[in-house]
Amino acid sequence: MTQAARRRVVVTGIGVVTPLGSTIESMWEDLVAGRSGVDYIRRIDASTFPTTFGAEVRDLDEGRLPSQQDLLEILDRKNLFGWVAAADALRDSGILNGNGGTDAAPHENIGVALGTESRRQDFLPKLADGTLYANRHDHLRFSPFVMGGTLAAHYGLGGPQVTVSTACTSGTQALGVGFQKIAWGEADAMVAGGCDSLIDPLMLTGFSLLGALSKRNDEPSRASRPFDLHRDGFVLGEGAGMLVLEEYEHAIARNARVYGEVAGYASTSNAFRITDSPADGQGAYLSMKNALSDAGIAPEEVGYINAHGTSTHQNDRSETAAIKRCFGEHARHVPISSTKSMMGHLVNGGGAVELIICLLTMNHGVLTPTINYETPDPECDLDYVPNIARRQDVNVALSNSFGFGGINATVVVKQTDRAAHAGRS
Amino acid sequence: MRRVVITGIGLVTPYGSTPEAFWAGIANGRSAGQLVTHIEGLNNGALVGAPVTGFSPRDYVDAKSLRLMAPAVAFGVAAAQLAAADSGLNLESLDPVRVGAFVGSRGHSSDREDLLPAVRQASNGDGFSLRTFGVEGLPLVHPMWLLKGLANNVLYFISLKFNTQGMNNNVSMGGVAGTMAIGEAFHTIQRGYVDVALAGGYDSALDVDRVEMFQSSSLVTKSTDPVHASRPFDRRRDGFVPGEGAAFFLMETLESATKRGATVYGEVLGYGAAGPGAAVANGPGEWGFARALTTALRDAKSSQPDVQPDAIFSHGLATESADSAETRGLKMALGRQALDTPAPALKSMLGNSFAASGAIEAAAALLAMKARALPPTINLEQRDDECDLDYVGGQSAREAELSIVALSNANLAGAHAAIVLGRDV
Repeated sequence: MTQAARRRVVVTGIGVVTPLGSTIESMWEDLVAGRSGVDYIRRIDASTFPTTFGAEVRDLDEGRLPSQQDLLEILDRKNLFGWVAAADALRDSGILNGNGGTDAAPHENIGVALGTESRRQDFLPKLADGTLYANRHDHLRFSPFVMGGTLAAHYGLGGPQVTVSTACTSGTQALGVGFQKIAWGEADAMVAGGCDSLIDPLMLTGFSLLGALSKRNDEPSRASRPFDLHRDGFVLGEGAGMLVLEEYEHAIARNARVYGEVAGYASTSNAFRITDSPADGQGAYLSMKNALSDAGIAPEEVGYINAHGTSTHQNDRSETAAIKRCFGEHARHVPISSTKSMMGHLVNGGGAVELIICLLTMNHGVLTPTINYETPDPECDLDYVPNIARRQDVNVALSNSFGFGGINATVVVKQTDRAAHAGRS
Repeated sequence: MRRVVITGIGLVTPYGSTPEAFWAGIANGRSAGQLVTHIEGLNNGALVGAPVTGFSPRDYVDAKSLRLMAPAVAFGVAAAQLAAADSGLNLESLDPVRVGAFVGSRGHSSDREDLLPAVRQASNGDGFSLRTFGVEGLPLVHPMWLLKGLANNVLYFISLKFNTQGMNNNVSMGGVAGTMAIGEAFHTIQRGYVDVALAGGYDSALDVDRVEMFQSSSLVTKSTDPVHASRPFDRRRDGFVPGEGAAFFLMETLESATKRGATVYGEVLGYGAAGPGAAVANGPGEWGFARALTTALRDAKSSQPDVQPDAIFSHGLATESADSAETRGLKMALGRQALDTPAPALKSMLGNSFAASGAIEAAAALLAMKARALPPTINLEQRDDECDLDYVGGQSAREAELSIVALSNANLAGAHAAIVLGRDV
């Protein structure tokens, strides 16, 4: 890669809505405390489904939702999560203070890159009573790209728009695309991230039938147990993570607070099976290897891996194998944790929340744990930061996402040099 | 920067699945519109549409895989195979991680026919019961149901078929998705992340969900005259005709194409994407049209200092507001030159195939440059003062020397994209 031509990209704003908390502070507090956000499902009556629990967003203050009726008509639950997280990230960054463009596009060099989808949560009951598409805005409401366009029109963003739909990998791929657009000069900043909501009858049905969900119905908070020998599937979650990615000089010039630098990105395909990952972790290995090479960072420099760590038998074994191949001897020394142990799987929203956790890890010098880790699996024998948060300085962190269809993506972040921190309080 | 050329075209269109049949259709101004009398699951009788004809999915996909594909997915998988075959490149002889895939996709789809038996089982006089569904409905859903509607299904099948393991994306951006997939592949090859990519788009607006969704909007034509229903830029335009199809391209570096003596259809010179800016309402807007095209032309200057498009393949959605906005946008981007730049609208013949449309229009542009002729905008009979460019109105192709053409596209949430193609390498 011709790295010399590339511009540096930093993160200057973050926002989340998660089952652990809908602010950065409350989410971080729960992560460090090792709390589970998994419980019996309340939004719908899931009592007769094979899995009766999930990780629901429960503390989102209604006052943070948009009040405009037209927005409420076209943004469904997942996109409202995304809207709130994006609003927080933009406010946090301060990038919209001041007008960089024209009236037609006050922020013409800021774009949007999102990982999201078009699934409809009330599909089954509406199909039953034959009223699926009654509203004239439904073609937008159930389009995957509606969130990006709506966000951009609301804030006056004129830069490139990308919506990525690669299931569990979407959020990380959206961040990667956003990173590249700034690095190669297509935008000065990007609102990037993902959002999803999977606590609905259709997703419970689909994932249950595939045998992907944990059925530990007697103890939901202990169901998500990545890398533990007795893991039996993942836990459906919901939420959003949004970041403001910004060109380094642009951020420095306005004295912005910098959370860290996006250093590298890669995506790969397993070219294997639609749901299974290969035992040797080939695609995941290539994803990490290429992202590190893109970042110009040696494997030994990585101080933390936020694993995809879904708590399925296959993923955790395959990911462990991939980490060993990528990191060699260093695999035994690099701490790895799966925050899905606490907040479940946010699918399209997962990658972005997990990259935010990587940034917070670097900023706080604290590793978040993998909870419910009780019985080691001989095939998963690395340091998963079991159960208790750990104080440790981290200069480079890496976030993995792997999805159905065999798509893998990795983003590498690192501490920014001292100069970039000048603006931090 | 490396130069990127197109050496394979694969098409699934209303005129058939060869470039020759496709070109013959559009060059002769033949409308693909017809009265569509049967859409699976739709009870509302006939509608005007532009369906794919002469396509047999079993020619491309085995019966077992087909059961896991929504119908439009097979269009995409077939078009990708045709593009690879057309290029003469043996993809499996390459380093798989240096081969990418970029798909313009409709996103997730839920085939209601697969769910109806289960929904009926869970419905009685009191309506739909989720409790009953969990016990009696769920076992009636196909175990692999979720995968059939997977948003990145085409991307998965491409990876499996051609062992494409490198950088990838599944862009679910509606009317700009196909254009963006080509653009993203172009940048990814140009910047050295992969050497070869399959890129394109697939979609169908002729399934029951899309038809119902748009019935409640005012975006689809109310005309019952199949041949004359789609009339972009005409004063009496009243909405688009739903279409379907797919187009894929084999893209590689000029160097590798030259080395293996491949037939080159054309070069991708530039790509630009834009958001709506501060649009008052969502949807195609003049600022976004202008911004995307200007950005793509500027992008092209890195390889061709003097970039003046000889024609624009317009989006021409055939709604009242989109066509006048596009006209103003093209004038903003090209200045006085806009009046002398022909801007045919292929949707006049092919209808709107959403995520496929930009890719199909790119195929038309490449074939037009080779044939030294521009396909017409048919049904352009009454001039609209708001639409005063040269749209190549008429019923047959017009001779034209075309060395550089650009594509202009938009989606219904205000995202825009443009690419610039060159004939001579």
